[in-house]
Amino acid sequence: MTELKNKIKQLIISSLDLEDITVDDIENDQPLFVDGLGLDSIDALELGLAIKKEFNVKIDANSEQTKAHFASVDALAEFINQHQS
Amino acid sequence: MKFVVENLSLWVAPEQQIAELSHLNLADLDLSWVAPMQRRRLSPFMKMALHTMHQAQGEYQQLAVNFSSRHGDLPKTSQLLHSLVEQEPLSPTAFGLSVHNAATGLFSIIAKNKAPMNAIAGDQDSIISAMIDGFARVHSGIEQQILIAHAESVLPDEYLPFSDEQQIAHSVSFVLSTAQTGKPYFELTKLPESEHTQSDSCLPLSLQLAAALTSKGSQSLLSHQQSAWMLQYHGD
Repeated sequence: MTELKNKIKQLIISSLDLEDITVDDIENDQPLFVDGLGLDSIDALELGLAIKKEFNVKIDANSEQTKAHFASVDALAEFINQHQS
Repeated sequence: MKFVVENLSLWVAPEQQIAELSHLNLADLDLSWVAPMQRRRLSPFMKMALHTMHQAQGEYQQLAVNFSSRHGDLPKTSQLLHSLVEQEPLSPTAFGLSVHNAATGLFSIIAKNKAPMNAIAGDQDSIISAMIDGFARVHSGIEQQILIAHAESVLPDEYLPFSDEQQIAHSVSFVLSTAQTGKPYFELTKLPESEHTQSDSCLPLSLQLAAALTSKGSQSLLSHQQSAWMLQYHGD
């Protein structure tokens, strides 16, 4: 799970061009959007695409649950673990 | 067309310094005024465009903008086209920022400038088109001043065979207003076809213009294959 979380953090940094941020700067339970890391709605689309590509999971853009899955690295790891095909 | 130019800002890729502009001391790209979370998304094209727009804006707060570019952010558009060919999904960020008015949109948001802004593409004359439209707006009194901004990247490799001018990554911006009695001004006039250049290695018109505006020679010929212009400076 730690390995998956680090992979997710690396993906967040590379897909969103977070030049000044390292894997160690992102806490597992830190909110990714608005507060916390400060990502915005364009980042959400970009990250969704990157996760779909990297982990081969389907993401429903209109689902309320999707919001919860993208709340933090912990939540994303959980979601990917359950849905990876 | 008689007009006044102030706050001219020019940026040319440092590895591409050119003789005609060697008399100018060009500033390094400065985007320290853009928050890091916004800066991270800016392409090289967007960075140079925003840099000169900001420098030229100076003390003006709400300043109308006419942005021009012949090809826009073609390196970015070209990457998107590659993704389509490979049947890869398009990056939402890259798509959103590849549109022709992305530079004005970002400038408006970042500089909190809500004045009207146009984005123009008009072939080799792009910057002239932006000036003519801008002149109409200041001449009619709709605007007191207008920021004319232009940016151009080097063509991506696949498009280089179609190149018909020197390939120089550059951006130029300045504030244009109408000529006032008794003060120095520039005058731009279109010339007949006989004055067109036949050369495929002419400087982009925007750089010819920047050189002429800064050297303030009494007469400067600006030309490419499709049109020619005379820029005159009427000093004190």
